Amino acid sequence: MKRAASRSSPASDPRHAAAVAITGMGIVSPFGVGRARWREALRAAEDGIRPIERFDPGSIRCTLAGEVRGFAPQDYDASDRFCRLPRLVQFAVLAADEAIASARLELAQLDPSRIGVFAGTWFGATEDAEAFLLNLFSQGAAVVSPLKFQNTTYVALAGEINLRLQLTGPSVVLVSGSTSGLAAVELAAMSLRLGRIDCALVVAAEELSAILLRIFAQLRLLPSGRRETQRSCPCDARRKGLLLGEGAAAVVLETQRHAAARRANVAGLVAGCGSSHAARQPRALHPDGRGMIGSMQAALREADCSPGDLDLIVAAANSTPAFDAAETEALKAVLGARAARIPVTCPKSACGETGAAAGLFQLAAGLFALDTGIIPATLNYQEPDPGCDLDYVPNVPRAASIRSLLCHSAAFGGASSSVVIAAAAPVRDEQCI
Amino acid sequence: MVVTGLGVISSLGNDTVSFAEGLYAGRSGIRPITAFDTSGYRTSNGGEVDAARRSPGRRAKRGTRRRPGGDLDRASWLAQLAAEQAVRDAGLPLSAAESAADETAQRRGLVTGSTLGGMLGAEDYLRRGGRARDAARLCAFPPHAVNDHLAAEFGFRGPSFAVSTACSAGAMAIGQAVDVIRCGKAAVILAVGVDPMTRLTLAGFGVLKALTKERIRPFDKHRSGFSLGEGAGVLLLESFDHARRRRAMAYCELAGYGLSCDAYHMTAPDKEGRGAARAMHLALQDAGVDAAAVQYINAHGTATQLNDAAETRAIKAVFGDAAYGVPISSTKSMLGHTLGAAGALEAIATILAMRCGFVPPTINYETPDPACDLDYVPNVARRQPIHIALSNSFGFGGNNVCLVFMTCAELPRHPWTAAEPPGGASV
Repeated sequence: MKRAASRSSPASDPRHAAAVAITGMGIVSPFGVGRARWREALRAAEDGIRPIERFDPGSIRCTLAGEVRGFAPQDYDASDRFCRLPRLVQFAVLAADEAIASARLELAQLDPSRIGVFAGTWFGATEDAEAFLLNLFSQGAAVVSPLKFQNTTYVALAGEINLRLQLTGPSVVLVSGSTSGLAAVELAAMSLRLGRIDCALVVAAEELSAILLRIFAQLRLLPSGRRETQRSCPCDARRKGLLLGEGAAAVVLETQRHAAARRANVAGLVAGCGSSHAARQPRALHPDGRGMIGSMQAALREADCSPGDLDLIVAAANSTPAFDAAETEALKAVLGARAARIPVTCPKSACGETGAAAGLFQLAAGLFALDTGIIPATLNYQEPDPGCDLDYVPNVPRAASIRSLLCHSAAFGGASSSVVIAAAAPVRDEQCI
Repeated sequence: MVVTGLGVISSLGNDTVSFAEGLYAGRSGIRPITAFDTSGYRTSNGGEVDAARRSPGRRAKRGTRRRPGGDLDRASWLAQLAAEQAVRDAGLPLSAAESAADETAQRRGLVTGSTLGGMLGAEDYLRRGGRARDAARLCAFPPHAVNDHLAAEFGFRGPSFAVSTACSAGAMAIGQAVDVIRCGKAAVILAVGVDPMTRLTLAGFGVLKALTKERIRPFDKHRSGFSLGEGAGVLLLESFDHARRRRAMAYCELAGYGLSCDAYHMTAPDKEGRGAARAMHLALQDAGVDAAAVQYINAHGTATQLNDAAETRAIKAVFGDAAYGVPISSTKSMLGHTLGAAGALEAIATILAMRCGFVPPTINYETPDPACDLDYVPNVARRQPIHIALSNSFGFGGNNVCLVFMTCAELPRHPWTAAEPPGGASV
């Protein structure tokens, strides 16, 4: 399939003068380490959901997940320091390294205090936190591990990247649930726009652990029927709950001026971001998606983009019955008559619910579509649901010319964040995403 | 933007008036910990909030609904108590129902900073063997649960972010709120810093030997680490235009902030204090203020050997010779280290010091240290007008945040609800 046709340079659309350039990307996904695997998998409509290998799910009936299979940290960095990091921080570090390399950022030639790190996670290092606490309760406070304690802090996610890359600018960790990835993009874009930094590394990560699987099963968020009926099938009538996934993604954001000055490849523009909250007790979901509408509208407003300008939606739908329907309702409310004609793809069908990482996986799927002119498919889609009646790009990737797209994420609890990405195409000699 | 409301739950008091009085009197909030059995831990002392405020209990209250299967998480509860004060203090609607009638609810947002969030629920869950009936409390494990609860309580439908940058989280929340308002994404933000006392942190900081077995004595030669504390601090921040339009009264202006990362060590500060100095410098620059104009610095001052010496160096690097003339105090000497709440509670201490015209003391100070040779306002508060003040917060990961507050001449001054400010008539 051929690339999307003629594109303008970033500055040519005056609406996007204040937009932020995306100049690099790195990813560790259930498909494997690296963006080459990611692209290959999206092109081939691969399913990253498989039986869990890393640990024995024990009595938990749901045994499928979007696991980063066969991941061995020493294959990437044999140092003790790296190998002892929590799994999600290892993912994040590798994604960050790849993003910096793909952006061809020469860190040694840049002012490290003008580069920000914006990291996001939902649950953080669950394995180390569990180990630390169980050790504390069984052995007492005198023998707990200082390293494990340090690993339990959310701040370690960004701190490790600051240390490794010697970046001395702002270092922010978002813990806004599964909106953390896109929320980190929004905070980074604000810092860039206010001139606090020239460049930002945005990274989001999540790890699959036995404890997390158990808790999700106890909260009845996972499908619990026979193995054959367990699937991540967002917006499909048969959906019965989410499947967990893991991984990390990172993107490099820069002011357009900074990107132009160093002749960077620009994969797309962050044209607008918005966040909102459902503000509803005790369970946050408005069945009509009311809590999500605010963030979508705010992002479109900031991007000066009307529903008619959008060519693609990358949705957060995760195969949970009420959540997927609410997101569809919100999209219909925001897009109006256009809703039926804009394709909606759901990357969680292939990767599972990867929490904070999911927001950046969605961004990565959107950038793939922008770059290749191929919309990744929503997998496992068979039975239409009257409550989810949009065009979900079922099962087969689709060729289309994409110039603007909207990524939306919403968290359990009611927070919602959206990002509008617009095409930008200076002449590129190499793929940076 | 301006600060138009404040709320405090702390070991020094549960409203701004008693908090300010405690700071002025140099009272210590550190007592034996009662929330759990501390045998086997490095220390059994900490700055807890009083037991009656630890959980909603049977309090029958409009809008307070129990989470299914469990009590409201303590972080959410402490934050709610402080947020109610701040919202009332600012004269905004107190309930979601009132907000619902108000179209501007979409322009009201939340930024929470917390290190631990619902860690207490996770501790109980694991201590009791991971039973399904305890799992419901884990819905409140991620720190954003505090936002979710407050958004619903007050009907704030605007942007909502949760940050967790260890010991600087409360200040980070205030800093990010600045950008949200400056970028026009919200007109009002509740900036929250909150953390509960937990076994995890008492054990963890204990094994790092950051906790003292004695009294917490910042900047003293014989300082030996901090005591842990808990609490919640909430600032209601408002764009200047929004505040003026509704004729609000302001405590002060939040003039700017600065961020930096040491990129030096995960748990130790850079001995030279370079990152800390850069955060202060950037904050002053953001506020458009000369270092020479600063009249008070609320220090991070954790009473560890490394932090206090490095922070002193950083202050000297930014202020030069003027460093010797600026009063500096660590209110952690009274509150202990309240982790995610610290940045917010210390910002509030700074604002109240400006409002009432006194410099809070550094208590437990006895022996000067040649490496810490500035004016730390030992033991006794000092009456003094303050127009420009700075509040430092540093954390794990070398994460530095500095905030600058300035008196606001354009709006009427926030009325002080006490009969008299601490120390006598207002300055």
